[in-house]
Amino acid sequence: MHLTCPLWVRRIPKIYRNNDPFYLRNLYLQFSFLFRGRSSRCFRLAEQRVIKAFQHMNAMRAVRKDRFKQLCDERIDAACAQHGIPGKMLIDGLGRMNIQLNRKMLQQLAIYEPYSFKSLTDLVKQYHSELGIVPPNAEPPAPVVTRGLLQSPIVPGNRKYYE
Amino acid sequence: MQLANFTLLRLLSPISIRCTPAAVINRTLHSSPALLGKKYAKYYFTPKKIFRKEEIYRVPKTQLILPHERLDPLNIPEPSAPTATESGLLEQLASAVNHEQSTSGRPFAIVHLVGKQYKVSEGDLVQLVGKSLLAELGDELVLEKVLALGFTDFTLYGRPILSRDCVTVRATVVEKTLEPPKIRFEFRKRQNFRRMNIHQTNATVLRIGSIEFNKPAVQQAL
Repeated sequence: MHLTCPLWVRRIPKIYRNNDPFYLRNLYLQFSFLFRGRSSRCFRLAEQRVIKAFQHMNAMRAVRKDRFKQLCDERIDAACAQHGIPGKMLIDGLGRMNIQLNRKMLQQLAIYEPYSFKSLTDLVKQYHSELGIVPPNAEPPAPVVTRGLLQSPIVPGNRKYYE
Repeated sequence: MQLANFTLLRLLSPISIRCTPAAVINRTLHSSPALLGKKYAKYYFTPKKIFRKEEIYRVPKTQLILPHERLDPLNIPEPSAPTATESGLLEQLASAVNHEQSTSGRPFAIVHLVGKQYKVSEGDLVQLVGKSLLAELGDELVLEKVLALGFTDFTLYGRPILSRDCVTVRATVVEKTLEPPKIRFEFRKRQNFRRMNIHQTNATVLRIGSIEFNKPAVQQAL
């Protein structure tokens, strides 16, 4: 079937004239490319599924950060349990000693650098034993050379812990 | 339902449906002068002109030190003399530092850069998300905020940062581009409210060159 020129060509939008609905529908169909069934081919179904998919995407943005934080906490807790310390104690102890390593970095060390992680747990055990706190089910820490500096405030932000 | 990633690459120009901020209109004007109508320009997908938004990373005021928190330089405590067992351990550490050879293992460093921390070793690529540095392509940088250093036999932890004398971590700027496009779609049901914004943030890529540490400076600190 031979279409005449005006029917074959999509109306190009000009100022103050009607535009072709193709462009808006194509936008939604581009997003629904790999959806199931007619939701990937028909605009009236694709529109609904695409909008729902976008809402899922928006909702996950806030949740993703919490989930990553939970993951990191879980991994740190599991690695610390091998040394006899709860995970929260490590994070709190490092904060008080002003070693400002991320949760992300701590889990990387726990996975890929086990000896470095062990040294961190030894530091935390030493810090708490100087204050008289001994975590249960913990082996005695490897000897830590502190020279009396572990409890002193090195940087101003932690002064509240020492008063 | 997952969105296909490659469909996003086709939507090159930032588009807004029923919400056209001025910046979008300006971009479409630059790309195709025929589309001067605000009402109809949003339905077109024009080829993208890659431009980089100018962003400078500013340290927020919450991260600066308050005046009542400043250090008293006269009251910094000095380390007490080590006991017999402690001096033995210090000797072990000093010998480990002396015998450290970079050829044996792969040293790593934990670096604080643009508000985030990266675990870095030689030859790594680091992408800085959302920010563009003032450095040009090919510039060599020295990353100074090193939180931790690791070698085969020992690690160094800074409280919070290691001194500049001990470490140098070198990096070169390899790439300055835009990230893949991200979509923000707001929808409220039964209110005829839909807003879509496609935005791309800047990204710089650094290649880490070498991690060098200064043995005499470390031994002096011991």
